Amino acid sequence: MSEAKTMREAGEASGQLVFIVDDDDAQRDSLVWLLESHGHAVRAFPDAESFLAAWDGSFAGCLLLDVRMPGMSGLELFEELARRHCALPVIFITGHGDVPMAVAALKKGAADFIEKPFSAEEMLKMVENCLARESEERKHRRARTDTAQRLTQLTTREREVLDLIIAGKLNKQIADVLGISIKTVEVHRARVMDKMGVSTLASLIRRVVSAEL
Amino acid sequence: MQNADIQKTAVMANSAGEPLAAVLDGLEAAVYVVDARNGVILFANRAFQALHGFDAVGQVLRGLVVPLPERGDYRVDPRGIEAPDAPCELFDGELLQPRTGHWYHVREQAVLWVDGRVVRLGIATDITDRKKTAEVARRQEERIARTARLITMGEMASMLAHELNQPLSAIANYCNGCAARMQAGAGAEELLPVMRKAAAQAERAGKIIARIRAFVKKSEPRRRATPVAAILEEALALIEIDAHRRGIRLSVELAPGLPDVNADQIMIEQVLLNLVRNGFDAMKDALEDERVLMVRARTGGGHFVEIAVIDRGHGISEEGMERLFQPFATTKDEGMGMGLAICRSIIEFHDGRLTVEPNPEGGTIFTFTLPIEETVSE
Repeated sequence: MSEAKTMREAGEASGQLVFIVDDDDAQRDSLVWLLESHGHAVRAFPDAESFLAAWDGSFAGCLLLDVRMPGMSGLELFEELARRHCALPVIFITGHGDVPMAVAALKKGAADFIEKPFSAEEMLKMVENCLARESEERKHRRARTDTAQRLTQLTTREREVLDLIIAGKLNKQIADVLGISIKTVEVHRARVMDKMGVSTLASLIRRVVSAEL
Repeated sequence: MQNADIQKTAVMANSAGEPLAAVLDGLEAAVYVVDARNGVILFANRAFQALHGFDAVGQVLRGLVVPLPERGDYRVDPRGIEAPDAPCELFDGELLQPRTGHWYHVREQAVLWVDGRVVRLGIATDITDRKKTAEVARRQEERIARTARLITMGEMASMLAHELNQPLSAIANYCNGCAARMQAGAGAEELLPVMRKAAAQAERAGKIIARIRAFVKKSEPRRRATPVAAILEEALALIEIDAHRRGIRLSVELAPGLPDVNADQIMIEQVLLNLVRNGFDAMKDALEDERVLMVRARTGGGHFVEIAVIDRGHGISEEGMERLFQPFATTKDEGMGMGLAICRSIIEFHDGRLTVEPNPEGGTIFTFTLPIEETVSE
């Protein structure tokens, strides 16, 4: 129990939750129990509508989603979330004969699907994979927004210098292109490095290029 | 004689004028004019020549997609028509061009030609596409009717699977969660309520099964006294068109004075349809005069009526006989392999037997028995 507790706390500390949307009370309740027993922090919803109402961009973790539900179906919720640029990886829970639906979902970018009745081990492995992937992607996303934010701090001249640095120009060439002295270029260059929060040319280029991808 | 005809035709084509010739050549339908007495082609537009050869004019029409008096295509032999009878309709029907598999709607009239003799003026329109569409629609309808009953069963099975999945996977989740916590040293007070939830889900599964049982019972076949002739008539009426289309002769041998059988008429009709269709399929490559399918009903041993479906088709190998009734075993390209297994269950439900044996004259004999009404004790 203590092991489970610490894992759960670790999950909560990282801010990742396993979200569940399933209309069947027993199914949902038992899934919560199973995931919590393996140390995951869980938040469950009885229908797609209540999940959408609660959802905001800060939701982190992954989503276990039942395909068949009265009202808004799992597939419809998935499509709506995609429209809202929700980055939560989605694992579809499918029943008998829903495989074609699941395949369609995979083609539209769902992370995975699992057919009921499923092995707990397999489901937990899927969830863990999704959580690891999502955490990684979120880190990248955060870095990208950070870089984009820093880029907006640059003056027009600094931006020009930065573009020429990335184009591989030497200080002398930059000075010629912009019609300013080498010394001025060096001053701009130092300011760019400072504002972008990097100390080497290599990390500056990596940062800007990966943000622009 | 022939040369003179060609010359006349050439003269007539000229006198008809180029615009009219262009119109006729532009038609997709084949247009032709034939001497009614000797069958020599006097005029043919481009579409007709494309079908019969560009040297068709002047030759005797041995047409591929035209009616022929020798074949008995006409009600009135056009060779005997005199000038005062014209104009009159000679032929209006559909013909198959065997080489290309195209169907043509052909209309012919007897008219007086410019020189006063009686000719057959014909126009043949390719209706292959139209025919195909109609055929596909008809087959679709038939298939829907035939499978409606099976679909209901299939849907029910799918519903049952889905409904049972819920409690079963909930039980698995509760138990797996408990196992993980027990391993981590959890106490009874933490696990007990969850074990109770799992037990409640097992009860839920039991109730679903009880509901299914009740449903199955309700949809059990309704057996009543049924005349054998009624079964045969209904089933064969459904398949007559199909037989005609495939060039198969259906022959029915109904022993006189047969007692009624105790059966669900619709279900037995399904069985009969299935067996007859199998017979048709087996005779796909049979010679024309061997394409006969016989349905024979007579008293079987004891209190049974025996109905046999006898084809003259390719027969079934010994190995095939063994696998015949297994679900999903099929020798047909588009078969599901469910037909015979279901037929057998239906017959056995009626306390009858479905057997198969080779036809000594080539082909296969399927025989099923049904109990006569009096033998059933309520």
